[in-house]
Amino acid sequence: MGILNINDLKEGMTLAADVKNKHGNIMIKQGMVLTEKHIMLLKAWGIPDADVEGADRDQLHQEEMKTVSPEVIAVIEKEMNEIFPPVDGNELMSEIYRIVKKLKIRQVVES
Amino acid sequence: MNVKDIERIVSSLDKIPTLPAIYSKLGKLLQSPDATIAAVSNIISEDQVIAAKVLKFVNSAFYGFPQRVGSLQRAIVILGFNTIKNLVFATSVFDMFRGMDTGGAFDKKNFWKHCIGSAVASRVLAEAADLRNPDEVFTGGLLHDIGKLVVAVHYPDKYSAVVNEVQLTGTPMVESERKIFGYDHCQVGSALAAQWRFPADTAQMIGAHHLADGAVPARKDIAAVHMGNILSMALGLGSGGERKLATVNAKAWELLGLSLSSLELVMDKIVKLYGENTEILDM
Repeated sequence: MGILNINDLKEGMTLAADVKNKHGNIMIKQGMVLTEKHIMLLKAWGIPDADVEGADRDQLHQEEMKTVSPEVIAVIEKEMNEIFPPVDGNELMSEIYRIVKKLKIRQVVES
Repeated sequence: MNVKDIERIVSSLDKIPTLPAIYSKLGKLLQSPDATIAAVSNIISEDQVIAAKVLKFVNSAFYGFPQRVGSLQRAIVILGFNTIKNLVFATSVFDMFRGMDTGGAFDKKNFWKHCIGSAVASRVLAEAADLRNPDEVFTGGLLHDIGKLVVAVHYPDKYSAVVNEVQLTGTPMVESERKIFGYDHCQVGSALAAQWRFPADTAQMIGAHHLADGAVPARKDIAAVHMGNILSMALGLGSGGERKLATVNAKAWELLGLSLSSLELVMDKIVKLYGENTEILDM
């Protein structure tokens, strides 16, 4: 199991834990196999993440990177390293770094 | 230099505009028992530019109402008095410095973008963290760097020296400002807030947004503006003149109480709303 961002949820994934809203009410029960409609609802409810069986965030993130050439990633990283302080050992800054990198890669892919 | 010194310096500056009459009128009315929707709407209607902006904002992506809000009265019913007052405030401050020359190295266009980016980011963080006053946090984000503008308008050449040093060496702006001026933009922002009689919360968001290492933010809204400022810069939404990104204060992050896995959604939303809102505040 692993906590996945709502954007990374896919049809057919199985919930490893109940999805609750911020008031603690159960919205979807553990064990449910996600459908497109579930994912749409979760987004509409503003739920940020869900615990999914067999999911691994790190692996997922690495796979995303495979869709773009290493040269492009190197250019993006170089640009970012000009601005970012060293992020090693800082969980939050590392996550910000990862997300910004992902968004920049998405921009390149879309343009 | 202490607070009084800075306040004296700021009050001696001659290019600081006065807030438009409509803002103080609105403030007075809202404190009195005569504050009816019609009365508030009448005051705002006196300034057609501000009235139009309030309507534009109500109809923006932030609120996402299914139908267009066509009248000021309806906008007031939906948003409430406080939010309306904040909107009038934010739009009028934005207007006042328009057309003033900052000269040299200070890039005003990118600066405005940074203000809007930070405002949007701070607001999205405030909503995600369930703060009760996201619109006030928006205003705080919008104005957090107002001190830079005030100093740049009065001392364009000297402030260019700050911008150039920061770009060349990567020194944080506050440090370079203290070296060259003896004070920094947070202090000037606080003093200006006092002079303009900003709401106390807004004044603190402006004065305390930097949160040096180990500093503890007094409130969640300050934490939201602190982090919103850094996120907007990380996402490349305009530039406040800084070359290096600051690290998010660990206490601020802790205080907001968000999960690491929710951050991606927050940042996605910032980018999306920023794209939809730059036109609304038309720079």
